Amino acid sequence: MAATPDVIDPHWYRRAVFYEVLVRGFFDSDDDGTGDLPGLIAKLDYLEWLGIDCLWLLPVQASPMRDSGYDISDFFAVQPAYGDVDDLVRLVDEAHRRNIRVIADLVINHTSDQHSWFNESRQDRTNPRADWYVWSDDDQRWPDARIIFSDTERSNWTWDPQREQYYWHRFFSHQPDLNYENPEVGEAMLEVVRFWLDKGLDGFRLDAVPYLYQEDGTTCENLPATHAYLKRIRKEVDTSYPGRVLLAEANQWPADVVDYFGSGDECHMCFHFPLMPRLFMALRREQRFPVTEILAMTPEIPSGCQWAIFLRNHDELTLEKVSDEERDYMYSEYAFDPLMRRHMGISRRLAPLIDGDRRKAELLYALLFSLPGSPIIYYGDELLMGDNIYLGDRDAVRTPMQWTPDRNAGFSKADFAKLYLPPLMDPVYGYQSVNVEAQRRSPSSFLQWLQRLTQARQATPVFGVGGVEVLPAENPSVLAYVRCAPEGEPEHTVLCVYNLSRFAQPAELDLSRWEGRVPFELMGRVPFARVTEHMYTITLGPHAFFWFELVEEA
Amino acid sequence: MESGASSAGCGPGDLSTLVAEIEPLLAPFLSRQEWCTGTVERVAVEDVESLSSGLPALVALRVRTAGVAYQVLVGVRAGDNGADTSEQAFLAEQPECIIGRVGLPDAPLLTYDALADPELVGALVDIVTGQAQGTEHMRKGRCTQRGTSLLLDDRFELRVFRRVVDGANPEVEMILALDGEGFNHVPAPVAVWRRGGFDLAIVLELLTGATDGTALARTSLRDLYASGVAPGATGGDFSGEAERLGNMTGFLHIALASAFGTKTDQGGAVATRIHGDYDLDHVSRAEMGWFVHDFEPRAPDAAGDLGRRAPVVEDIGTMFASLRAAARAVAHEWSPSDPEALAGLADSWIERNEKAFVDGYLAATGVESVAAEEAVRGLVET
Repeated sequence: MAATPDVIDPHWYRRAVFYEVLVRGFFDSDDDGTGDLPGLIAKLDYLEWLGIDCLWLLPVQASPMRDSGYDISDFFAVQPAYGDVDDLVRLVDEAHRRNIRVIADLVINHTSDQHSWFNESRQDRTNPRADWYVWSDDDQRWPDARIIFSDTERSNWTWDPQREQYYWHRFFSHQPDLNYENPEVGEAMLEVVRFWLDKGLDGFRLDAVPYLYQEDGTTCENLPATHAYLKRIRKEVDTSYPGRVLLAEANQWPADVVDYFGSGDECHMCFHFPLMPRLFMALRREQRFPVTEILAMTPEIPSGCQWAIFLRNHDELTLEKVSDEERDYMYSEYAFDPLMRRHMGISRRLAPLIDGDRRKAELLYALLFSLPGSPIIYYGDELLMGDNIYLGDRDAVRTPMQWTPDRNAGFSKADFAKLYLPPLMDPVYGYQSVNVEAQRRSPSSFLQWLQRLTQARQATPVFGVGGVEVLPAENPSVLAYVRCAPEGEPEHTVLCVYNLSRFAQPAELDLSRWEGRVPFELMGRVPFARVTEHMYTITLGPHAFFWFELVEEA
Repeated sequence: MESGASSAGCGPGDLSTLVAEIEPLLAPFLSRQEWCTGTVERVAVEDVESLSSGLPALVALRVRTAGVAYQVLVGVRAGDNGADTSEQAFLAEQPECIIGRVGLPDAPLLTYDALADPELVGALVDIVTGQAQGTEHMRKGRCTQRGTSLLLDDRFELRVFRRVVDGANPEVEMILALDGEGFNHVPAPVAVWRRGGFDLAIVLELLTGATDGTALARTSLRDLYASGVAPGATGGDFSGEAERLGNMTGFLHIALASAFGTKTDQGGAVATRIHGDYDLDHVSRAEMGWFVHDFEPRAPDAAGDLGRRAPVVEDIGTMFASLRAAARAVAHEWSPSDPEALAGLADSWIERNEKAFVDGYLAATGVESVAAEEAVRGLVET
């Protein structure tokens, strides 16, 4: 079992900067055209330099890869192209040596239809795993459960000619849902959890958690039994693996997502999905309301819990999941906005979404790093990598990491034709101009800037654990908020001010509560004019921002 | 002087002595105030009441000049000018608030506009709301010809009416009626201060994070003129906001009709109480949507206009006029030498947002009982 770094800090995930990595696309150590775990190990020094605290591995378990690895065929094995379980243990050890933790995707809702459990279950109605999946003689049960992949699936039921029954699946038809009504299934999944935590993983991102149970007359989402099972996993973690973390993917409205924190006894972290499109919309509209509205609608979370927030991830930019209420702000905004509608349903990376605008990128990252929650960087976005929308589906944003201007972007020495996906080669985002080597050499590169921002965030724990209060500003293009240390901790106040507009803007803020303090800008430690009882005026350049520590001077 | 006036517990001694001393100082004081029109020559104190004991003292006066009644809240502190002690430092920066020196030569008292004094404003809020609010901090909001707005601890807004009218203040009446109808797009009223038949002040919950409609429209217009493309293709598109504003307006009119009733004229047009001076300056975008923050008419003598019954389309018309005015004003700022060059963009912005406003308005459930669809659609400038 690997050593866990820094075990004395049970709330490490609240201060951490996460890095979401696609093993397949990061670095190829054996020249077969596909990234692998030894390749990732080889690049840990880079990640340590970047300053991230925790890796999140997209699925690494054995899979026929019909859904990017979210279709697992063996929970106890690593996808052979990536390496084996020993490689994973070595990755965890090497990461821990660099004070980096590692969590991995775990799909508990369903398996691949090629999993041995399903093969056994579909044989007949009496085999030992006959009830490990959800079978029915007809396809009429639970009609209120929505079809999540409605463009490829027509029903949540699919006929199995072998067993001559229908099986239930909330996602693709090749991903049958496990039957958690059967206690053996819950036990089997706990065994999976223990297996990987024993190997040293620091936790899981639990995929698609709202759908574990079904109940007549419901939408089969967010059911009490589902919460009860997640609490059981948490209890196992708290008892046997303290300091490990559960991050829930529940693509729901914040008011529903908070239930997945339980009363601090369910998941440690949950994704905050609606924030991301609103950050883009605020920048597009050049006004703060898309963001302040969602902050106002985000409920308090139990102590010790944390939101996971991101600008982009491996998925499509979807509308329906972030905005299920017809009267919601984003719904009407998207309805009116042809550009945003064009982005719907396809995967985009950060840079193309903002036309490669460096100032906008800095502003968005500064927001991400200072809003309540732990930020997640999607691999490659630290370089402002582009995407290739002609690859279709979600592959657009899964092209190889761009390490150098050399062949195959320095990702692999395999024949170009053997690469799992071609690297970007367009003149704007292609690897010859956008790559780690070039950006590490240039002190003014985006990568270097983001590394400094990461340092600033880590030196400012209030970003991770503090409360947030939006300050009134008459100028709608100005977003200002303070992050304050929680009660009981030493006083620490950071003021964040953003200009969401491409024109210079004045910000007039009432800071009289902090009269007498001196704002120190966090990136350069430059003192600004002392706060008085009068309105405090800050001039912001286009898309500029400031982080100020409000320092009480003797 | 009204018999209700009391001198008990008044710090500066006998109230009638104070009134006699202060009365001649009021004409020059009023002349300096932006909420008072023209030069004031003679002021008569109609009513006086002491609202506190000890010093600093808070004394409420109702005065009349040239037929117009004003409320003057007088603060009284020991000393003889605004700058000689630290506790009067707030006056050093706003000398126009000083009324003048009264009292005996060996015990001078300084009188001034009490709304400049954070301590007395805190006391006033406690009086109006009937409980100790523990106000720590006050900030000046808008000052208009009718009244002064003070923002307290980012919690309350205290609106003190300077110019007062007999009977219910139409703005207070509107806010209370709309709140009573369950229309929650007005700042929620906390308490109304009503004495001797006059509405003197109202305390409202502060709209947090709000910005006025004009500022938001101007943000969109600057983006439009800088981009130079059709308004629907610009990032700063306002139509989503316009639609929500229209929708809120529809529910505003439904609530007004429900609270104040309707009258149908011979031509079939429905009239009810309308806002009367409805435009981008009277609405705010706050975190959770649009609000009507203000029912005060721009012109000080338009008191009669407020509470007027008229077809609701009048409100939409004035809102559209302010959209057009904003489009033109920003065009002048953007291209002072040739604002006409932006007229095409301005017109398409106006049309797009008026249409969106109308769509939102007509989507308010029940709005057909107060406005006919064709009359509303007919207001769009095409």
